[in-house]
Amino acid sequence: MAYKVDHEYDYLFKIVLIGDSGVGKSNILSRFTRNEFCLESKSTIGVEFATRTLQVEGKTVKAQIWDTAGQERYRAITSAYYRGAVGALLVYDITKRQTFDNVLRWLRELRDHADSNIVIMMAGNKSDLNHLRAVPGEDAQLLAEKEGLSFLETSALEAFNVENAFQTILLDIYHIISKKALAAQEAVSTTGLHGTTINVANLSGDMNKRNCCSN
Amino acid sequence: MAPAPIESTLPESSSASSPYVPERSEAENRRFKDLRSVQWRINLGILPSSSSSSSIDDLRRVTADSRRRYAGLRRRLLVDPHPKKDGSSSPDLSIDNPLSQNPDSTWGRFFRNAELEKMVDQDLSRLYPEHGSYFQTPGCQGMLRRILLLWCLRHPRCGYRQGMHELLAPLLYVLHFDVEHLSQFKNSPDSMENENGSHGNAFKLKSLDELDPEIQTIVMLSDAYGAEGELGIILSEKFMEHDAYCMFDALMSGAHGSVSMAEFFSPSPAVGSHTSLPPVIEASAALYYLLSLVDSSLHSHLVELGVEPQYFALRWLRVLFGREFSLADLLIIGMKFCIDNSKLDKGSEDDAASSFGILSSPRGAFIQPWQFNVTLFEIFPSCH
Repeated sequence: MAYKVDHEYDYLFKIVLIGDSGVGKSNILSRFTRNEFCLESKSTIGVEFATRTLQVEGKTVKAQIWDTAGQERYRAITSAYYRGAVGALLVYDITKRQTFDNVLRWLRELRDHADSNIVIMMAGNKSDLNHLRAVPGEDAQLLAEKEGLSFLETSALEAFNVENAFQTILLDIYHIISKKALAAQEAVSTTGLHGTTINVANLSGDMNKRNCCSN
Repeated sequence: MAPAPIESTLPESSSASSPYVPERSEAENRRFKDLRSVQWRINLGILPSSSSSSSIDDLRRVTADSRRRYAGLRRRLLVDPHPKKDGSSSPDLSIDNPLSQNPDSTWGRFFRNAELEKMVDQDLSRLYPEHGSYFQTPGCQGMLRRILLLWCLRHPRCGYRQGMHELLAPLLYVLHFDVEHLSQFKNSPDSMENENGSHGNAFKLKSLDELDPEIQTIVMLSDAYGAEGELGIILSEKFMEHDAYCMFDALMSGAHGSVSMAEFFSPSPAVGSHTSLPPVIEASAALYYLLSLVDSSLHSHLVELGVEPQYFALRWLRVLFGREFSLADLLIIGMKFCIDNSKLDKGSEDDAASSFGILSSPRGAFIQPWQFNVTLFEIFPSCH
């Protein structure tokens, strides 16, 4: 994608929201990007986007977040949705067991369609509804460890941990990127990376090429 | 915007055509103009076209038949697993019990339906939440739920897809609106006073022919003693669910030469498609082509940014602009793309252009061709 470089940010990271219908993806998005929450929100049809620019370790990072209908397994837009995504927030609803059981299906979808280096955070949303809890935090913690995911419980309604969840994803991505950027810098020339959009897919491509040539 | 209220006063010989002499031709074609729910049923091919000199009795008979079909469907597909109290049917308990693994058992079907219902409810609970007054009432939710459930059971290959609920909602709404409107008209004590100068029962006229043709039509459409009796009342609160199902089914299947909306939810190419793309992607591509003709700089800007047309068109197409316009505006414009495949009359075109500037702007011009027929495939046969 040929995004015009604007000098308002150092990095542009695409993050996708996934998870079953009704778990609160759109409200997590609006909480993070506009600090809004809507109890009477409609189901998402098609794709929606929002961005927010924030600081990560002194760098200006623009997070471009994609949101889609939870039910879209048959997606007409699957490949475009995951293309270039460097992070994923996989959301389930702590009051609905089935949305947690489906986490594995979403992980499979990520494996099938997203870049293998994608940073994944699992979020147990609606933590404000603790009295209706159907998924114990320990179960989720176990699954997260087993699958190598970060994990937080969030509440878009109470603005609890939403910021934290995205900050964690962005920091993880930033660390991976800067490590790879360093390696790539050594390998390729010393063209400045400042102000350039970087995504994991391209970098890992470069890395592979380098490995290939050096072998 | 609400349809024009039904005129209850007679024009005082101000118009050239006497209101007592029904004008055939154009007026006849649009005789249900203010009764959107009737007009849409004609346009969707559920009721016979008003131009084909169909009588009110014809309309009533077709209406009754379509309702019978829906009632049959409901009896057949909505499952009540509990054995009847009167013991008329004695189920084989080795198959029909709640723990049965047999998918064809009554309980197996019951649980499958319950799953589907859960999925549908997930969206229905979020349907026009701001219009809580009607769409969120238990009665309306129940009708919407049964209609979607039955349609999905009838079309298992398509199943339920998010967005279908928002295609159905305006259909039920126009029925509800007209029924309400009609009941107000009928209950209004002085609705006929001006015509017959008496305070007696409005419908006990010397002759029906003395009435304004529009009112005549309404009276005959809602007369419980006409053809097919109660089942033939064209605007009937009792059968709104039946009628909405028929409209939804026609819209989804693309009856009467319009686009099949169900295709926009399908991941596989349409029959006869040369592009081997899912229909919704094919239509999105056609839209981009249209844009390139009308506003090439915007088109190339979007392409340069890597914006694929389906990012926005998916939603436009799946819910027929239901998210782009308010419900009231949607009834005038949005559904027109698909349902009103007859030509717009000049009056409503002006109406639409003035109530939202979009159609008079250059950007809006590119959806203009949709006004007459949403079939992008017809506009661009090469894409088909």
